[in-house]
Amino acid sequence: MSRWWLLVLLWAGLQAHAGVPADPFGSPMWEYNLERYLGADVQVRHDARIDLQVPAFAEDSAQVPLTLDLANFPHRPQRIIAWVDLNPVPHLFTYEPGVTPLRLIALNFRVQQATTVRAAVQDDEGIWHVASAHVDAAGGGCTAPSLTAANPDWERSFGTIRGRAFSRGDHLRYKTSVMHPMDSGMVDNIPAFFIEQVELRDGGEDELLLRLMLSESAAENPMFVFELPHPLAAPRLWMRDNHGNVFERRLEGETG
Amino acid sequence: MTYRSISTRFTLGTLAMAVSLGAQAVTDQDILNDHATVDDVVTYGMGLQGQRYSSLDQLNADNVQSLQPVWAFSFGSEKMRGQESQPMIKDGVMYVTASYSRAYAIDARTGEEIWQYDARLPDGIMPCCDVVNRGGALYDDLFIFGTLDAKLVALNKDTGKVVWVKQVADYQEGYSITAAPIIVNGKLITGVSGGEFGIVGKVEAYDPRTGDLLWTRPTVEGHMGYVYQDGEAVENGISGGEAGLTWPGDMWETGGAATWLGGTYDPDTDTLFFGTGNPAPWNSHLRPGDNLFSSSRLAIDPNDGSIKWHFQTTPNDGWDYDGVNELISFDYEQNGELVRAAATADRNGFFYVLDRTDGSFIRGFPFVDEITWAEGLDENGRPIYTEGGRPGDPAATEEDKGEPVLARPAFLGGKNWMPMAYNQTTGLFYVPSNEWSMDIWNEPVSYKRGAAYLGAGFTIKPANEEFIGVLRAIDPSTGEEVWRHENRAPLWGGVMTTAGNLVFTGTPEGYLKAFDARTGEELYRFNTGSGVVGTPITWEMDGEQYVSVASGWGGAVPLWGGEVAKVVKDFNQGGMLWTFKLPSENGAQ
Repeated sequence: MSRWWLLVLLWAGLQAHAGVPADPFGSPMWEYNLERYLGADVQVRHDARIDLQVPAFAEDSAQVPLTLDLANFPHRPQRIIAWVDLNPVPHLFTYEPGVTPLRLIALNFRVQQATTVRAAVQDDEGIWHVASAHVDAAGGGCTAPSLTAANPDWERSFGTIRGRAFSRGDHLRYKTSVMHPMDSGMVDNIPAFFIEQVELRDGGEDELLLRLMLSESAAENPMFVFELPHPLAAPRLWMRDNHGNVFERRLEGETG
Repeated sequence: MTYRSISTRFTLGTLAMAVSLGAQAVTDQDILNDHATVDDVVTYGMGLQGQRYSSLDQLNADNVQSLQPVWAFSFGSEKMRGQESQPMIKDGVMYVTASYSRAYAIDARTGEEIWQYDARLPDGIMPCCDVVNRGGALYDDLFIFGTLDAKLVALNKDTGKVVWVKQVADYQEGYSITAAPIIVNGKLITGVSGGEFGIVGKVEAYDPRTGDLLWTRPTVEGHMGYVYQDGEAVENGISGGEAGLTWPGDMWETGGAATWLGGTYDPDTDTLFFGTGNPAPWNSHLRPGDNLFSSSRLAIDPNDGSIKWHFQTTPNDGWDYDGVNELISFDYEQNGELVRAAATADRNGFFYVLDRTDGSFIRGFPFVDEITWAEGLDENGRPIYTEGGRPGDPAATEEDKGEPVLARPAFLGGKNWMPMAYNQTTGLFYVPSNEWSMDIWNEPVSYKRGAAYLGAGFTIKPANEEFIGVLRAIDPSTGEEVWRHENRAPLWGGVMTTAGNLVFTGTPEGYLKAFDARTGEELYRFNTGSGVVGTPITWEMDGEQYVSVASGWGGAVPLWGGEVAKVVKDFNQGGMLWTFKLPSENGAQ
């Protein structure tokens, strides 16, 4: 018994030395993906102040809602990286800040099988604060043909952006969706075709409010929700897919 | 899957880095000199004039029997259709396109893929004649090619990432792009496909770095050309001066003349040569007149898109004898005088030699065994039509169908898209040609956006039991057929020739073949596993001469070939790129 504890302490010590705590979910991909997306020699800690919400069970494996709420997180995020541990391409998004801090981000993702989901938020000292959640699923969300693929007329609505801003106290919530097949490249004879870059810019000064880099795990016809402090003028949403198509729209609403 | 596990990504990263150490930007000078440099192929045509001639002679008629494959590369997926592409080479990297608007960069030493780009095509694309692509253009750090939904896509040549994409025309009207664009003095020049859908052909120039439109030149009389200055369209003259000179009524509005095979460029006269396709519809009784500038060669000023001159091979075309085939610039001496000439082997069965400074007709002669629709050419090169050689007017009968005629060549042409080659050493053109005829009849038709606009029915028949394809060596100064090599199936692949007294081409039976350029003797054959309808190239790397060709049966023949099907029905599809060289001194690699 004492020997067992010694081993555990020794292991924990080694982990602490590397700056990586143990995974409460015990995912086999925990350390591998940490190093892959955050790099080696980084300081990582679990942080309950980051509220990462995913459903306990994915009703639709191709459209799983994810909300990352930073209202109780005391630092200004320097970078956020989210990934889905057991997806073929785990990376979901990387967020880079603009002139104002992000309070909330939500989008839908695909899930290939029951998996842990991670959001790593870097503070201004370079420390990564990680929130984890688990989603159970029937799976197949990354390799099932998209709804778009079943619609021969998909180009008619392709690139259509809907969006609006809603006031949330001293913040503004942007809710916007774009019609895009977001093909993962894992369905036979349908090449990867997805939005890679998303930028939100202040409509007045053209200052960057936020930038997102998306990967194949993002869901079809994506809907994004961002909460930011009120900008000066209605911001402009700009997106570019991996085939060079650019989509742009001003997000009108309750600006102030 | 485009994303890979971290370990493969790392390997690819190092590979890309190793490759990019020697990777240089492609300059205008590289492109203008492409015909003279043996270590790269940075143009479609192995030189802007399109001669497809290499001065390399390490590989020659004495040793070509020892040629061996060094690697083969699969284009992958289930999209195995006609592979009509010509590869390009720069700094040890091969750039090649494949069916369904795909592009690849491959390590030319090992055959390993560096990157791949698959266009996400809409289901509604309307290619008339298979989902082919014939190649791309290299410029600066970009590889640029056209897609079946009528876009130009510029990829970073080292990473394959999209730099810009530009809609050239609306695919829902029937436009597409299958030809390789070309770069001329910093401008990207492209044509469009879609002549079977009542589109209006055009030649356009774009800024290769940004995709901004610089000028546009419609190829049907009556349509305005524009030059773009600071994003503003400035009128640059109506093609042909005004509408209605050679077209009845409003037929010019949907007049066809697609520039679907791209073009060549002659630096001596600073001129683009673009061919134009059939007038629309096929039923010529609906459009009496010459129907300019259909079935013609256009000499275009690359600076603003103005038409310098035109030469129409089939006025009032009633047989779908598109005039798109490449016009190749070449010089020769006659009576001690240098003649700046250009030659083309037309779909209609005649071979034309023109003065490329002004488009005047020097000579013309049949290059196929028999022509039914014309008795010959007059002193200006205009065809002398055979009486009764044109399919009958359905309006002249009680039926829905006009009087059919048997016409030769068939509409797939005495020669189709597959480029011929000119050998500066032998002074001969090597023409991939076919012997076939067709029953053709006309029907009433009216234009409907995005629908086939033919007004004709047809069926193609082989002219002989033993052969359809004929590779011909033709002397452009006499019209003499110096030698011929017959092939059972129709020839549908491009030709390349070298100072090593060699002519290379492929056959639908699957062979890459090499011939003695002077005698036509077959010296080499290698079975690539599927029909060769691509165009071979040759270049030098690490002191050794290489040959590459794409293999993969397809193109217009299996779709439109009619009774030719009995010859080609057993040919299987494919999608491979084969690369060959002589064994190294220490044995084959």
